[in-house]
Amino acid sequence: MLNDIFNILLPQISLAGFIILQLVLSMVLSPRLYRYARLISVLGISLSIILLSTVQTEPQYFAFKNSIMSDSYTLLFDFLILVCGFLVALLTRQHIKTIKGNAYTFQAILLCAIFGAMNVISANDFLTLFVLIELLSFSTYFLIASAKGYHSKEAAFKYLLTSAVSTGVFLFGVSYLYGITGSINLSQIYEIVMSQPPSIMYSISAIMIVLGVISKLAVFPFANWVIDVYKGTETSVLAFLSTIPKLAIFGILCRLLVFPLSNSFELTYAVAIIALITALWANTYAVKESNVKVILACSASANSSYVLLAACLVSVYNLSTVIFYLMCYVLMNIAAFAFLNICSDKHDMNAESFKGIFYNNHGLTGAYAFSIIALAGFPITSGFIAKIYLFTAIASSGLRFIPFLLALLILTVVALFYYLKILLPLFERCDKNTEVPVLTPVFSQKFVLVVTTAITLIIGIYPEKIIELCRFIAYNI
Amino acid sequence: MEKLLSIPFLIFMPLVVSMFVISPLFTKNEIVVRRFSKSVFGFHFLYSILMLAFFDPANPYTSQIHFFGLDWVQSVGIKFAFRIDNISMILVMLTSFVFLLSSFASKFNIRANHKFYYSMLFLLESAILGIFTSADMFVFFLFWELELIPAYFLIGGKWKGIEVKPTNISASGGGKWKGSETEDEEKRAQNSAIKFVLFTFSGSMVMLLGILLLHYYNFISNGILSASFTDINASRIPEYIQNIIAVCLLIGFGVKLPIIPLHTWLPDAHTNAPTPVSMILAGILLKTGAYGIFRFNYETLPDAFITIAPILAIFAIINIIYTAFVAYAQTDIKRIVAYSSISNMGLILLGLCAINRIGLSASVFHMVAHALVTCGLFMVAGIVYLRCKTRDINTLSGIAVVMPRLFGFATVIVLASIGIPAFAPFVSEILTILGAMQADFSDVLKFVSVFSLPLLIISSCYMLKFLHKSFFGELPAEFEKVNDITVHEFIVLASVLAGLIIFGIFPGTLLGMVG
Amino acid sequence: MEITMYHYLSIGLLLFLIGLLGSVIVKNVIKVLISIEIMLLGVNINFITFAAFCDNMKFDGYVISLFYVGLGAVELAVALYLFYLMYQKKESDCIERFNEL
Repeated sequence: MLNDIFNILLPQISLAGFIILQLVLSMVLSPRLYRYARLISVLGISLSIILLSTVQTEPQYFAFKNSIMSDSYTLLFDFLILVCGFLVALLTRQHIKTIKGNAYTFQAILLCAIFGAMNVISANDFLTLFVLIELLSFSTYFLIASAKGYHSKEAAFKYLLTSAVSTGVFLFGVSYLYGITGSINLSQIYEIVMSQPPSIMYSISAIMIVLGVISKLAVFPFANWVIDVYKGTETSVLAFLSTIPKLAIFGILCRLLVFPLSNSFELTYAVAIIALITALWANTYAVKESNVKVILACSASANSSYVLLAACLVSVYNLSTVIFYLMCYVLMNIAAFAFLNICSDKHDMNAESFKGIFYNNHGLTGAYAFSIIALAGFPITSGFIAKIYLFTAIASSGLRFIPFLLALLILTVVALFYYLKILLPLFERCDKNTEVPVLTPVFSQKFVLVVTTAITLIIGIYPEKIIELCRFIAYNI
Repeated sequence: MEKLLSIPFLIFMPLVVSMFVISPLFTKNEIVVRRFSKSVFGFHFLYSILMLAFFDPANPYTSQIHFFGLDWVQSVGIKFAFRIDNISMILVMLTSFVFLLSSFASKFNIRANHKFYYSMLFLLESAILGIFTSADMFVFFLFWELELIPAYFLIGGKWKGIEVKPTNISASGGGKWKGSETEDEEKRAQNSAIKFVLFTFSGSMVMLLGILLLHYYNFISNGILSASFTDINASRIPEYIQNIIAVCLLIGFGVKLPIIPLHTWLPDAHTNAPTPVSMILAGILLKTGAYGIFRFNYETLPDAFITIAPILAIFAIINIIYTAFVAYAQTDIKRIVAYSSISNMGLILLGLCAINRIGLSASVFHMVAHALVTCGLFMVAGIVYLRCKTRDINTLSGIAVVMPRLFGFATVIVLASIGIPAFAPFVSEILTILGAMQADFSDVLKFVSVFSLPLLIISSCYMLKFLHKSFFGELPAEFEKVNDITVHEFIVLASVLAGLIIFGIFPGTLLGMVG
Repeated sequence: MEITMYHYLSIGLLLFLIGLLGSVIVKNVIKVLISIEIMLLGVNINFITFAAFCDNMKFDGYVISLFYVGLGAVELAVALYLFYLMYQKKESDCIERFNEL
């Protein structure tokens, strides 16, 4: 057991150590020292990133009686989650300033969420998966509710109700799968399922499992939370909410679809239809909205649906595109939220209130506009490459799914419309009377914005190495 | 010498200059910006002339950019490759020339945000050159999308600056477009820019589906993961798939071209854009659609194109006739020119649909001829608007008295556009008739198409109406003080005219290259 | 009549559906939370039935149901706390009153 820890779990253990450290400090230190909370988190995450080098990936390693596993796939996702966590932790400066007394607790919960997300990827049985998803969601409730005032509580409550119901659905599916196969271990279920002919029961349970898991991605039956939650949540927490749970859930969803749930043809169709409905809903909902947070919420939901369509058509090629898309997407998203975080104290989040902001803040607004253009999928950004790559994968999955692809492509145009709604006010000259504020970002915020934008640009110009990496990972799953 | 000629330099030089112009390093002085841009465009034109001079049709220029020794996206088979064959070469020359003209035309039309304007102009040139020269579908698509960003800003941008409101004109009644205030105009320009972007983007998304399918079926039938045109031309895709792909692609190109039901963005965009941008839009941007149809449907999917061509020819004829009538009903000069562009693009489409050498060369020739004519006409419209603050032909009257030189140019260009011999459009119209007659159409279609072309010439009376109403007649008092054309405008109009005459008298220079 | 596995399973299914339906259509916050707990019961009955009736199974089903009871309790506690915070402002337990976002 100790062997297991040293072989694959060192990053997680060190992160857990930092969680405990933060909790202890929250009891010991006075609230005046709130500033150091963020630094300790950043330190803990950096240490974890370094410790990732000790993780054994070749060959696959199974620990704790097959309940946790490690291979290059989990390693990549752990790395992505930690990098996102690093960037998010840097963005929390404004937020912990407003909740001084709870700064250390907040950071502890943030680390907890990252810890949960990392382990969700490596889970190898449904019990572990369930517990860790719950760990991730509990931390998320508290993170959402951490801001002062009533709105954050309402947002957290709505998120909680949705995910409680979806957990029920997930476990109900698991219970049937358990009844059919007699096991809750992913690899064992895969072996048993492959040796049997597919049954209706199996398909139903698979669909329920997937439905339960994807509620965190704001996908159709459980999608309505996303609007309210994004509206009521602080921007740095949003940067967390739109990246890390997404990475974790897609990471495990792909594994589920490739292994234990791969024997159901109905599942593919069900998920494809869900993805289509989600894209339809999210893209049309955002058209009439003017709140930037809501538009980004819809964009998050729509992007999930694109990835979901590629993920459900299981193949190595599709898997590699999913990984690549996620990688590009989280970086663009963090860039957008970093900008919103910079202006969160001077602006409300109405798109019109950003009017003319470009003319006093060229660099920052340029980077933000670049990330939005990337989300819309225009060239020389990673968004363009990611979209092309994802769509080639869907197109090569057979003529049956071409109508789905066509619908998604048409919906991309609607998406462009609401991205323009974010973009255009930035460049609009406002009247002489109204004062356009000069933004004063601190170093860490600028750092996050610049780094994510730069990576978006670099991947947009030279994606080959990253794509190769994704293909390698996808082959080794 | 030939080692100095590189395609990447040709394409990316404007891009680099664009980045340089917009960067804080570069001066804000508008005169310096303008002169610098003009000289860069001039240099680019000379460079493309050099490329033309050393061009050998049997041995087209090719070039591929490697990233650390690899293709661009090897896993999908995307090569960052370029290829300039004879048709590309002609269009590259044309692009370079029209951009030079529009940079000259920019002097009086652009009064604010010079750095941004010229940087977007360079970016647009880069993107369009990329479309014309790329040898890979996805690179083609990349530039196709990239072009939207500068085009949006150029159409919808605020280039007018603060302007004294015309007082005496707004008092007298008139059409909808007359004597509008700057702010209204900017709002309208922005709306039409959004319309343009949404239309083109939706078209290009459907086109992307076609490209993806083409890529995939090329892989199935050929076994090579590649997106380059040469590989795809060699592959045998089953015909029903080809038809699906061809329709997808045609929707994408049909928005740009535009083919009739998809044309509604064009009159707005062309009318509300500043004059030099209208010149580029009508002169070059529409040709990207025609080029796309040639490159994809004509070359890559020949089987499907033979099936589709008669249907497409019907659309082309509708284009020609319908828009001619619509143009006759317009009162705004720019709208007249814009609708006449759609009409002319129908002619180009008809030439392509003939699927023979005459039709093809006619359509390429008409691309050049129409670009020149439309540049001249938009220039005339711009000059009139700049002086008189109105483009409504019912309000305008008798300005030939105060602007005799403009009147001279306008008359000649209008005559050229309606197909008077000795000018370039005459040649291409005649050749299109020939091509349509020899085409593999059914007799009825052949009959209709052949007779639609004289109809084009007849319905060109909207041009004469414009000329008559705005230049002849009694000169109102408010226009008495307007000046005649300046040196810049003279250069633009004269070079357009020179091009029209040269290609009208020696059509063989261009036709020889196509054939 | 002999009581087989399927009887237990249908009770589990019934409870689950009642809970799911209740959590969707009920307007009272407390009742929604109760519905979620009923869903939990249905799932747990399923797990325990499978674990008890099938010979080849180990204790996995019991373990999952225990975990789910624990985590469900925690979830309920968090939900009630958030509801308490919201109740202080709204003084109502109708779910439609919480509509400020």
